[in-house]
Amino acid sequence: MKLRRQNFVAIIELTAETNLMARPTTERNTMHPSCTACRYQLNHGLARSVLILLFVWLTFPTPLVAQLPNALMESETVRVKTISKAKEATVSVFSTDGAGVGAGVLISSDGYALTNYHVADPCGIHLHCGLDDGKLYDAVIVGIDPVGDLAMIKLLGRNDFPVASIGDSDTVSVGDTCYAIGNPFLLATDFQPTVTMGIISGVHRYQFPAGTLLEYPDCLQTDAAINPGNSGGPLFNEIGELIGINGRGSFEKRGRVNVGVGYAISINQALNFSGTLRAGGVLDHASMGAVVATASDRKVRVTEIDSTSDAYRKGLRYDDEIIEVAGRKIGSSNDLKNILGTVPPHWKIPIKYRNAELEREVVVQLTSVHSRQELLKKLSPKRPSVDPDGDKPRENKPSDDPDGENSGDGGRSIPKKVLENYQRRRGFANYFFHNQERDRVLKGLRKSVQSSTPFLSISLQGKTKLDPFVAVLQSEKSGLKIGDDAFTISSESALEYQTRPKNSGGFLNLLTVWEALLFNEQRSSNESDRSLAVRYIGTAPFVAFGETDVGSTWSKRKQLDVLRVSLDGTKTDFYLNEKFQILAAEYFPFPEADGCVVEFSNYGLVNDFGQLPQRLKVVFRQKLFAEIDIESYSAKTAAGASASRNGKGEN
Amino acid sequence: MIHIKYQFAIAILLVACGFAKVVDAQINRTNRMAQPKLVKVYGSGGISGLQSYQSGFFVGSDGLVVTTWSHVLDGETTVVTFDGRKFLAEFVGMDADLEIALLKIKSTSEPFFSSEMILEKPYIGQRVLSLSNLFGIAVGDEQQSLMRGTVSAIAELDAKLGNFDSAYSGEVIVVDLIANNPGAAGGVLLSSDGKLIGMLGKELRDKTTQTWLNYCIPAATVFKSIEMLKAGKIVAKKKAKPAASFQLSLVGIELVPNVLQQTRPFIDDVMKDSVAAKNGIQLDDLILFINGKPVRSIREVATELSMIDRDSTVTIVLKRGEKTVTKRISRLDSQ
Repeated sequence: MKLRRQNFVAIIELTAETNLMARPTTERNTMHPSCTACRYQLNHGLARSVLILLFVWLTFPTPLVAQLPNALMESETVRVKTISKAKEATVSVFSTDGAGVGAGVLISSDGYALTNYHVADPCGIHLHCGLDDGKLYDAVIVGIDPVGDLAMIKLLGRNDFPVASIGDSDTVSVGDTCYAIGNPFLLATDFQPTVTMGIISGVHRYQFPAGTLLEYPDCLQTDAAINPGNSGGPLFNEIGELIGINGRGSFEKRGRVNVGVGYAISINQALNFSGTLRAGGVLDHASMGAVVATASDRKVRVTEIDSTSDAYRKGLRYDDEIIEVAGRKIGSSNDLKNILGTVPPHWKIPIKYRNAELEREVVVQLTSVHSRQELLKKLSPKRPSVDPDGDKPRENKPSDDPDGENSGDGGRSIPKKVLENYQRRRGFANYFFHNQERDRVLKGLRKSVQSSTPFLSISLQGKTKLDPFVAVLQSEKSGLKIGDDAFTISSESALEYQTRPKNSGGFLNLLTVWEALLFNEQRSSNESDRSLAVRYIGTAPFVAFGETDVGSTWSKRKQLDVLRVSLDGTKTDFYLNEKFQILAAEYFPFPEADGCVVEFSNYGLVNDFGQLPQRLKVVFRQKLFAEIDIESYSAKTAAGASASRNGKGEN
Repeated sequence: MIHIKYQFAIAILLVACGFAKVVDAQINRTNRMAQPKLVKVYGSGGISGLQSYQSGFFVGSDGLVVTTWSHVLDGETTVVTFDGRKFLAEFVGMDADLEIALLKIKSTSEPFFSSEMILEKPYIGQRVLSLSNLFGIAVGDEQQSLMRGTVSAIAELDAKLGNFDSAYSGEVIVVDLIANNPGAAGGVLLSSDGKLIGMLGKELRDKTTQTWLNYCIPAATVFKSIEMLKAGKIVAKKKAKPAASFQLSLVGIELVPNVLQQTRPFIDDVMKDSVAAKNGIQLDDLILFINGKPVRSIREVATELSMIDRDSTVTIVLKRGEKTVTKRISRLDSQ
């Protein structure tokens, strides 16, 4: 292509020259650049040359382009197109005090964009974001992940933002072409980002954290120029799919400029966290509760294990060999760090290990690297949301400023629409977005189970493989009966002190919480409900009981919304699919206890209740406690009459 | 039915994507071919900005590894293969002129770069790939870093000007990619199809412009030296100073007093009836070159002369007013 353009220029020069040469010498000698008439002649000549050239070009297009293969030129055309689309989703991030900070990339049309924590952090809650269209948008902080150097922001004012198409960073190979787009050296004063091109120099790289923050596990390495200001910006593959978030480079003695070694957080890591980031949190990273080292036989073995960790409870011991984690082979301790660093701490991941000669796969609940206090303490005090004094949620007072501007954020004025999307609470980057996500899921869930008449209690009748099953759930007292064994729990005592039935880990407790989550709003009772605190935890995959070879399907697993319900001292995590059906719940009577897991399936329409599960599978300590088919649901109304309702409705 | 125009557009798009994929696939292939031939070298260092790691590659089936000669090799040296196996390396020899060293590990099954894989004539504008463990990013069985660029120049390294702190002053292949980072020395420069162009040299910084040079030593030069090292012909070939070196006073020349860091070598006095006087060397002549090497200060004159035997004939280029004068002088001429 370049060659062709050069030819083009050369031909213009040549024809212009020929034109002049063709004139009589005297006439040529009289040409003078400052003379208007001569300039006219010259222009006239040039115009003629261009016409001749156009004629030549149109008549004999082949000689001009034949020097380069068509495929090469088409490849360039495609590249230009790919980049121009990729550029549209790229955000130039500026702090509101005018000092530019970096870049970002839009991942949803309603304005959610990913950037680096170290880009978003100095901006506070309000950011200015420029797009390729030359427009500047207000944006608000949503969630932060200081350990993984990620942040989610939301651009405001449109519902049709251009969005990057998402790739799969696990399929990226060394040598693949890639494009980094961003705002290096803050050149994008017109908000049109800078594009650099390179190849993937390395995959699954591990770059150590600074202290315990800003760790780059499992990252992509590229020789595309990554300079200050590229941070937070996207890395695209050959076909313009987002494969990473640029954020780091290797710099030593040559100053803070590109030396051909840039790193991008893999998009798969970003997606693992994005569901949780959207919910306004300050995220931590995960620990398995075990330390490993590469032994002299090049096997990765456990050198230390925390006996309170879930991994220990699932059987992992000192000197066991770790074979595979989350479906990936473990060849070095970096491999393990690469995987652990890319998943949030509320996840469970499959681990394959060898103890003596026995190979086992277990699904292990991860824990946080930091304690909550420890993490919050480490963060910059600039952020109002994590200000130690900011314990209470702040009311969003509408501004009385006629310009819609409000004062705050370190004295700078914050527009009303940003404040409308911000709520301060300790432990959150932006509590507003937590509530949004929680309410979205709760609303969806409760919509699916609306009852036409208020009721006092709900009964479930069904059977296990051998015995009949009945459960009556109400706020004051719940009970269940399997065969001849009956169990009850009462609101007179705190839930954590009455785990029923024994050996189930709290199946009845879980059902009580489940019923309260679903129907609390519709209860006719005037008695005060058990006070449920519902939090949106984020998204996570779920592994059903009895699944084998979980690792092989791990990367394709769907993420579910997770709600955490706290009641008395207990907590129950509910996993919901995109139809807001609860697929599973896990009940913990106290932290670090073994949880009782109930899997809910066979959802069907139950008259007057809505969509309810008709099969429950109860699992405790990796053993099946009971498998129950529900035949009918019924409710007791305030009038005292027991209105029996049809069990199985149409699906 | 898709309109013919769109069919055409789709066809073009497919061809173009196909082309890009072919290019990428070739790079992927070259990378896969080269990685098993590379090693990570670990040794001394790790303090005051000196890295304790560098790169190297196999050059023989008998476990021979070529790498750059540096402080890393001062103590015990460990070589790690592409799949994470660790070996203690035995030191075979070093070529002080090229600043390369040959190591050997106890393994006979490693794939290696042979002299048949050398690309003899790289050209300016050629697409190249570099592979090295720069910044020590890769550890254990992790792959070394791949970078892409173009050959910018093929030229003699201007080492003797005092610009670059390098013993090597032969031909180098200069590239536009930032190949020569800490730890990259000993890595390879390859053509896109995997032919060996050269070995990445140590980091060099131009003392005048403060810019870093990105280059490699041609593979043919490296292999020639390896052959000699294997034959035990050179172990250390540092240029020895002559027992008695050439001095300007021997030919009757006296320079101005050396008072500055960079005092220019002006001639202050020429002895009557001396070799210099007979050859027409004059007061106030400025010495520009000695035996073809530029000298910019009295200090550089002394350094250059210290390497020349006192009985040799020396070619001196002088600046006299606006013209230059070349003189060949020897102490023995006076006899």
